[in-house]
Amino acid sequence: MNGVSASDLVLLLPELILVGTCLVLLLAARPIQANRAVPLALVGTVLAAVAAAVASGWLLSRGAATGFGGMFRVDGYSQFFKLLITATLVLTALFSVRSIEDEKLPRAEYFVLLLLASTGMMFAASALDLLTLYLGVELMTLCAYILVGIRVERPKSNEAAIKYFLLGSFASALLLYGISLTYGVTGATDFGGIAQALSEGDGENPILLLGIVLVAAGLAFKIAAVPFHAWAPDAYEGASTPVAAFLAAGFKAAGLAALGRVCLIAFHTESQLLSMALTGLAALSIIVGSLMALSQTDMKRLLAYSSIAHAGYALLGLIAGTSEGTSATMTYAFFYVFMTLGTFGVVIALGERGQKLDGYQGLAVQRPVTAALMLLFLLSLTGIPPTAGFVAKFVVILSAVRAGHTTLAVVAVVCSVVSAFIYMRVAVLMYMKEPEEPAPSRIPMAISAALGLAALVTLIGGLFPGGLTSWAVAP
Amino acid sequence: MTLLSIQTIFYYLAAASVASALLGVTRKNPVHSMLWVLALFLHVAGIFLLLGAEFLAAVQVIVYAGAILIFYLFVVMLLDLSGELTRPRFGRHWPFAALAGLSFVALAWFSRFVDSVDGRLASTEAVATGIPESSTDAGALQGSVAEIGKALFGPFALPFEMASLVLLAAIVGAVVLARKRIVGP
Repeated sequence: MNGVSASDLVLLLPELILVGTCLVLLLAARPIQANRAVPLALVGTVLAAVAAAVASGWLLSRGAATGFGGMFRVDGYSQFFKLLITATLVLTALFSVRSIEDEKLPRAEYFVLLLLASTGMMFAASALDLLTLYLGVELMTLCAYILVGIRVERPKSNEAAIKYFLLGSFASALLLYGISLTYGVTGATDFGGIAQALSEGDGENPILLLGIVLVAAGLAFKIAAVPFHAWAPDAYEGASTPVAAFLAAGFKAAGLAALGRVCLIAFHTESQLLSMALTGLAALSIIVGSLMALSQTDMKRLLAYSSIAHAGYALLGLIAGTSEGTSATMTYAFFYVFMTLGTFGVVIALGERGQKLDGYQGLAVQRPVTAALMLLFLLSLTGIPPTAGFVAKFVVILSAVRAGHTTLAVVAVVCSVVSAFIYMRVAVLMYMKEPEEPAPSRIPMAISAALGLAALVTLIGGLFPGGLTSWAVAP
Repeated sequence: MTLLSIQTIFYYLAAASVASALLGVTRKNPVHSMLWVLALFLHVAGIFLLLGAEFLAAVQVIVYAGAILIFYLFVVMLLDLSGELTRPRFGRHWPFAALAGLSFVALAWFSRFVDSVDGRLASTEAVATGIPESSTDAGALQGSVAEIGKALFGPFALPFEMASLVLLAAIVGAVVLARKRIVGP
């Protein structure tokens, strides 16, 4: 292993763009804070995200490559998730315009934290070594703790951030324990080295099994899979809605990216154990997420439990331990990100009124377009054709059936029906009740644009179900 | 240095470590306890230095003596010191804590019979002199500051820089969370 060369640095281009923007924003924090008319930081963040997406595409067009002594990988898999992460960043940044204004948040620092979290997610998606994986995941979680608690005047926000921090640190410790045990047994932290040591090893080693389970548990916490989900409802409720959207969409994408690569490359010889662990996580997440969402009246808590259930569905693809299964999970992650961001976007667009379930009464009369968009996202979350949500659920359930987990597939379908009840309750309120509250104020341009983008992807994904298959290629 | 002077220094450092650890546990005034723990940390750093592990010695001083102990002192200063002095020094569970400590002593005793580098049982000669066979050449190189520096900026440059990003996020977070409410211009 040598030092760093220029060709290694080129592979980091998307991450370097985001970090560079962070530093500029930090240095220009005062003028940005003083400048109230033009959202400079917002424009900068969106441009940086677009540039990073373009750079990711350009790197992919040069072919797959590995850099930094085998710690960092650029391939179709990583660039797929990087595109998804930059899209999450753009939509979250656009959604944030109103909450930054209303809550008087520090603009520059808010966007710096979003950018740094996205950088961490990108590292997690490209990591080919447990060290870079851990640091990437840690970077995104650390930023998330701060973003959840950034509304320092609100006790609820502080409480949520502290709870999230304590549970998150515990999960990080689990992940770190898992990594060190794996290193102890295999003598390697890079995925290739681990896989090689495992294939040469003498089979069952209880320490290794513990290590694998701990790594899986640490990553399951990041995607809020049951039983590592306790933080999600509180954190989402305490965070401002755009931050909650960022957590729900971005964290799932990055966590699944990391989990997918770890399962498929590093621990592929132990696929039986992993498949068992993932089956448990998926089944519990789907069941608990769907059932708990039933009784929620707070919209963000409802969406938190919904995101827990969706984490379970996304895991269905990874259970098979094959490339087809992984690309099913990738498809799921892609559509899930856009439909979840869309749903959160409507909640943000409605302001205070959108926080409570009752706030949606009679929305169709007052705001027909917003209500129609919400209906589209809700249908997609339920998984009803012709939305992208149907395509996503179809591929992962198909993958579970092919892997021989028919019972799990049946559970998934039954819970989809249960979740239909949750989502349609909102639709019924919007379309079949008389409005009780005054119409919400005008929706800012940025939020409308982001909503339109999310709706477009949700619709097109449903109408052309084969569109993603050539993209979603497992590593 | 001759073997005798090294041994003399080692026995001084070892005895002082044990003594300051005992004093740290038994003092009634928490601030005195902390100061004895500081003495313990510095003596342990001396032992590391004696073994050729300069990096570990520096980390011991900077992280433990510098950062963690000061952090502890801050917490201790927030406590009710005078009330603390009147209460009994040990809680009801001290036998368990003593047992845990004694089991560490036992572990350290038995580890003398295992070669520290490759885990084999050491030869009786090595046990007698107290110097592990393979630690003299390979062990000294592994812990040296130069080797660690080369590794950090060579093969581990990416994780190193990523750790600096994590620190940047922590600093931004500290500034954001500790700020006063912003008054608009």
